[in-house]
Amino acid sequence: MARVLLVDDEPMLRSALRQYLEFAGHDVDEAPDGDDALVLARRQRPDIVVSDVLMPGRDGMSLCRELRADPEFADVPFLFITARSTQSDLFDEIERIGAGCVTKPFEPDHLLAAIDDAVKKD
Amino acid sequence: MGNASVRISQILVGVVLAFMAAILYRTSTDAIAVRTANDARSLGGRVAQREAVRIDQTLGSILALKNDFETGGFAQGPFAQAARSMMQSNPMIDIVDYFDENDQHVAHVEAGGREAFGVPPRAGANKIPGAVISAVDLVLSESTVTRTTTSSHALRVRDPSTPPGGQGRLFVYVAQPLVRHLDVTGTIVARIDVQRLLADDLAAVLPVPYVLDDGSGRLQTGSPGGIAGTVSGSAPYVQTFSIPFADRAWSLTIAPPPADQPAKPWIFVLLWLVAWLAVSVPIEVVGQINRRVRVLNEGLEARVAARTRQLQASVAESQTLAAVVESVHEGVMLVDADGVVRYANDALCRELGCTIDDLMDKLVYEYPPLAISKVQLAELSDTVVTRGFAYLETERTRVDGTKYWAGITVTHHGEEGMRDKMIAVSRDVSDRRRLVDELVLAKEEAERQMRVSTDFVGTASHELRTPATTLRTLSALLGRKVLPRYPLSDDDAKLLGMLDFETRRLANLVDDLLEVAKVDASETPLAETDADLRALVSAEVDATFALDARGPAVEVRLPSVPAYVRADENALRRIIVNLVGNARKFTPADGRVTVAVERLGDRVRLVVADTGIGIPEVDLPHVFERFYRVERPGTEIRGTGLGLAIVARLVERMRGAISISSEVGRGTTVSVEMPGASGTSAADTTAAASA
Repeated sequence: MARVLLVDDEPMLRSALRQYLEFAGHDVDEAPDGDDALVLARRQRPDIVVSDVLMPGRDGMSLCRELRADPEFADVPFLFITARSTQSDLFDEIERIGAGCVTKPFEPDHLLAAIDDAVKKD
Repeated sequence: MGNASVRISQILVGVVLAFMAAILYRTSTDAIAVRTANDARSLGGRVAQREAVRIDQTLGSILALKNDFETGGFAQGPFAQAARSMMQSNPMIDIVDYFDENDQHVAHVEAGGREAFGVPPRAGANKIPGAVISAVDLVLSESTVTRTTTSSHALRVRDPSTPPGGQGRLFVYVAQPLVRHLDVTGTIVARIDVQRLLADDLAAVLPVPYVLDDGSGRLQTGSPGGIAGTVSGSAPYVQTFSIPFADRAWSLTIAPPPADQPAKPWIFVLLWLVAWLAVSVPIEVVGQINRRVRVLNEGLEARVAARTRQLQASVAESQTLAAVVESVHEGVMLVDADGVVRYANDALCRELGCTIDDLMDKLVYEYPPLAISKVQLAELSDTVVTRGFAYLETERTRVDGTKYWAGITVTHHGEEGMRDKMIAVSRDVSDRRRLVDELVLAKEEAERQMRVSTDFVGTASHELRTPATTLRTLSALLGRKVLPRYPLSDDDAKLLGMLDFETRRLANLVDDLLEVAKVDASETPLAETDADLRALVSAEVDATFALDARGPAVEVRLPSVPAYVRADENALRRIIVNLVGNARKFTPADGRVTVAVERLGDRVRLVVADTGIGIPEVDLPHVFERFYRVERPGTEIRGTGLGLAIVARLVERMRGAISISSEVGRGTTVSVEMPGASGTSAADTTAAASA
């Protein structure tokens, strides 16, 4: 089981996903935006970060870059959950950074599978 | 016809000339005959007269001898002397005999000198034995040469056929009684050598063939060789003359000399031919000339007639064309190279509200209603010369001040490639322009609304994504975490199952909606890369199974080598996923889905076939429309109605082609053809086909 940092500005989705991941056996910390997530990450040391892209304040892309720049978190897998499936340049960027991506709407089981894959790979 | 008249003229000339030649021939022959006859007559007459004179002389000589005897006393000696003297002076007489009154031979004297007396001569046949020569009556007359002896015995004639010079010599004996004192005292018989006298003389004198005949049939002589034939034949112009001598009428027949033979007929035929040719050839030539002139005249007349018809037709055509030009609603104007109006029709005057005089012979750029400047005219002229025509629309102001838009087509009239006359056809296009403006506005408005609509769908579906995800997660939590804690009736479980199904469908719908919006937003360009359809199909089919292994088996038929197409890779993935997903969705678990990639020359075809429930024929034309859903009573399978629409739009945007065929209960086949990548070669195609 892994410690998952879940970042999304939508509290309902965040809450539902947290319960689902926990039910699946993961430990979940949740943050509403990038800044909180950064603080939480440094404190909780997550095995994987699952983050929305568009958020008020520090967005998902910025959070990812920040963590990648930190040697302590450079190797922590990063998984985006995004509604922006129309922007191919976004996907290019995600691929360049070396993160994963699951587009909304997704089946919760698909997210679970993606998390398992990323953590196992790590 | 002219030819015939020439022929007739020639024949007539020929006949006339033939007559003339015949007449000439006859005349010539007659002239020769007359001349020949005259010549012969003259010659014959002279000869006859000459011979008569010589005979006369001979008889005269004999008569003289007789007179000498009568006066000399009949002595033998003087007789012989006298006879010899006489024969010397007259060679015609070669023998003289003297008989006394008792018919006893007294003397015989020959020209050669032999003399005999009292003995009848034995040699020769001077006297026919037993013949009695009686006294001969001698008629003395100067006028008649003929001396006839009273006795026919006086004449002795040898066989005329005897050759001359031999024994057959012709002799005539002349007996001359001697009278003394009115008593007959004896007879002198002289032999005249007629051969010498006539025949030889004639032969020497006459230059032409002749025949001498004594009339008794016993003597006939003539010029040596060929004379008899000439004379005895039916040759014309032969003249016969009578020479009376020694009691008979000698006849002398002479033939004209060969040079005086009648003209030859063939000469006249030749002359006729030459004359005919001499006349006929000019006739022929003149005939030919006449004929040619006539032919030329006929041709000329025909041409004049044809040209006249052409001109009439041309005039009529011009009038027709003028009427046509005047009848059209478009304004027509002819402008010469200097820009001067040379023609304008009624319609143009009506269009501008002016009179024809306002336009004619005016410079176009100096007449404001035409709304064209000198520079514009020059530009127009250039365009027309290079392109053959020009079209422009310009706003004109009529004479009354109202405005309208004129659409003007200008074409070239005159010499190719040169600045020459131009024909301008104009019409009032104000209505059309207004309509176009309205259409453009309407189109822009429609596009704007379309964009708004697309944006709205995009935005709305985007906004729906997060709640849809939340719902799905909550539904999943409910099913996995909450519900197991409570005992549920079957109906309750069914209700919750429906909730789960609908949240799932909602999520799919949101996903598809966003995809449609993305595809419709044409400003989002599709990346054009060389994508290997073989690899993509392989990967996507595997992924589909990884997500959901339930349902029918999928058979994949791929070529042995990569099949590159020119397309957007993500779009291709979407196409494959949608088509395969659809096929599996509508095919029972024991059915079969076949996905094949085929290469067709420079194109690649993706075929997805299933053995599913199929699509009714009435629905087939609409399956690519958005939100079109085939009603399938009795089945639980439901789609969003967007999957095929998205595929069709993506294929269309990548210049591909899509087709579908289906049969209810048997299955559906969707075929997508994409342009191959530039590198696709025929060799690859062959390899694929053999593989």
